[in-house]
Amino acid sequence: MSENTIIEIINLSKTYRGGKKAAINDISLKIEKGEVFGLLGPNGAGKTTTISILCGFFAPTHGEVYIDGLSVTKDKEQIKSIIGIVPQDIALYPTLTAYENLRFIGRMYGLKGKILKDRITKYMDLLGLDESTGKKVGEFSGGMKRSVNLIAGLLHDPKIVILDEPTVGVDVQSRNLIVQYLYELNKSGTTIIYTSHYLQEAEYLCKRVAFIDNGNIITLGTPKDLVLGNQGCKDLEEVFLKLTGKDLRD
Amino acid sequence: MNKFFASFVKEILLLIRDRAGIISLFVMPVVLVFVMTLIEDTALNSLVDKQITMLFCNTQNDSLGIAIKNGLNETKAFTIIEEVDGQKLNKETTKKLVSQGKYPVGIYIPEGATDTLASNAKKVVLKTFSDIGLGKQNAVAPKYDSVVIDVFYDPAVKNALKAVVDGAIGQHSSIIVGKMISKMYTEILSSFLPGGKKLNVNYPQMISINKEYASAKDNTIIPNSTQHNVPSWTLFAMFFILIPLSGSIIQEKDGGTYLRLMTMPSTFISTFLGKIVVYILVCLLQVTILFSMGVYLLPFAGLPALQIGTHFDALVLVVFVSGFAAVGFGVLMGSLATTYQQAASVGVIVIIILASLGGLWMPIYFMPKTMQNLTQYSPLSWSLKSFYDLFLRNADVKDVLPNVFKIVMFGTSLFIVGFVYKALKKVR
Repeated sequence: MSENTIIEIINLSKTYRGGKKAAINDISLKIEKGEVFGLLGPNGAGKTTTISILCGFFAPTHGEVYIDGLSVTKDKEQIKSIIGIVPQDIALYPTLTAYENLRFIGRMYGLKGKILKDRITKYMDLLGLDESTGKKVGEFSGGMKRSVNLIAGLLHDPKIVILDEPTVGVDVQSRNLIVQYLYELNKSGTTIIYTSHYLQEAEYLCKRVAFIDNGNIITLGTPKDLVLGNQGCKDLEEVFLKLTGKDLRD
Repeated sequence: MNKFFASFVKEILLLIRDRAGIISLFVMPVVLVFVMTLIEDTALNSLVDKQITMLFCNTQNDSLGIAIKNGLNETKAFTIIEEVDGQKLNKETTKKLVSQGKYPVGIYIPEGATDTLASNAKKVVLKTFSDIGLGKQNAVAPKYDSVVIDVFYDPAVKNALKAVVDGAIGQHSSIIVGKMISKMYTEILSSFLPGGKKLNVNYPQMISINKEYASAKDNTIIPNSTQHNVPSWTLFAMFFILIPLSGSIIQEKDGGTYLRLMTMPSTFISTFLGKIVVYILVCLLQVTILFSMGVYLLPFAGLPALQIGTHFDALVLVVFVSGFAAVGFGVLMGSLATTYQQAASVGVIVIIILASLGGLWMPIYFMPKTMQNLTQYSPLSWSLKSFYDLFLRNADVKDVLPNVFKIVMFGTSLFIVGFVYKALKKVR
């Protein structure tokens, strides 16, 4: 693993128990430090499975993943401290206030006292939620929930942030705010792995993207190179449709 | 510790804000215990030592009547009423009040009953002396007048009660007659003694009955509706934490917080420990509220107070392990079920079956023999039996340990199955 590589995926496969085919099949890739890497693909392509293995939630069937030099199978607990997860679902308690949710999550990452309080205040301010700290999350708009969900993954200042469709179902303004914030976050040196169905967003944010379909990486490169390399395609969305087809997915 | 505390505080907050959960955990059990204790009070008291109200008409304050009344009083099974609405009873009113179903039993002692008995006793004694050639010789056999005591029963009265009343009347009448005959023999025999000496015969008590409860400890507490219903429905309520607990586990699974929790640098157990401790505390609080209600509030409704025995350490132990098993059940259902509806419906049905088998709904001694044998396999019966041991037999820690051990094993198995299933499901 080179000095600049923060994540190395080697021949990774995952077949769920009782599954007829592999959810991901022998994929290998490297992600550089400070990179925003897009993992894009249609529904059921294997994105969430890949992310779940990176987080240590599932064990791979074959292969190995190294994060910052640590093995996801052997050094799971150490890896958990250096990554921040922003799941696709709003992984918050709706009857708790934003502050109570974030205080709980921060404490579970070992933060406490003034440090924790200051971080919650800082992130709530940055995402324009400073006046909603004491409100129950269940009473928030979709965009506000997404923002708190994002903060929950950032509270412990992780080296790597893994985002699974962080802007799904939010209005344009909220999406813009989140994307801008991720852009700023990356500028401060945080590595971001990002999945989304919004390819414009990915094109703007990601240094490199991998298209994944049927558990295989079908292409990998910078958005610009991918567009240029596929004749007749004007943007990443057209490349995506060209490579993954127009058939509806589950 | 910080992580456990964080999880503990989070669970407390979630629980406090779950109004439906609070109602199902605390308000509904209070209502349930109160209503069920009231409903079953009459039914259970017909089997246990509740005093039965009885009309007693002894118009002439006759000695036989007084002896029977004292005898009935000594049984402590009856409350004897001799006046209704300030009016002395007579034969007609006694019969009427019983026939109207207002009282289960009425006794009428006829006028001159004692005199008739005394006269009969005298005739018996004189006849005996006459037969052996002492005293006046009678050619004809004496004529005895019979004393008829009327006992009026409500048709709904059970045979056991009739037997008690008949037995008490027969017993005390015989004692009176025996005493009369004995006195008369003594007087006549004394008349044959020289110098006007009086014969003094003492009859020692030849038979005595030793009453004792068939338990190791001395105990004066008698099982009643409160003693059955308060622990039964408290246990039922404890197992009902299944609803908020499994709901909380499933909500975490569905909402993605479980995934977040599992990707945090803390072990699965420490994350879960906060939840488990909170719900065990909920069980302890339920017991405190419901048992306090049994001790302090039920008597205001005319129900017997709950008597919790004297071994508080044993009580805490039984409550704690029962709570542990209840939480284990909630964790198991939360792990196995895929939806809240599944956990709630299947879980509640399982609790109802276990409660029925455990004798919570209907005391075990009401059940047919085969069902009584089955109760020993219901974990809820192990807890209920332990409470019975504590409340009725004043058991101590050593006495309840066999059942406590079984409950702990049951609870531990539930946790293990729940956690293993959850872990396997995660690995897939």
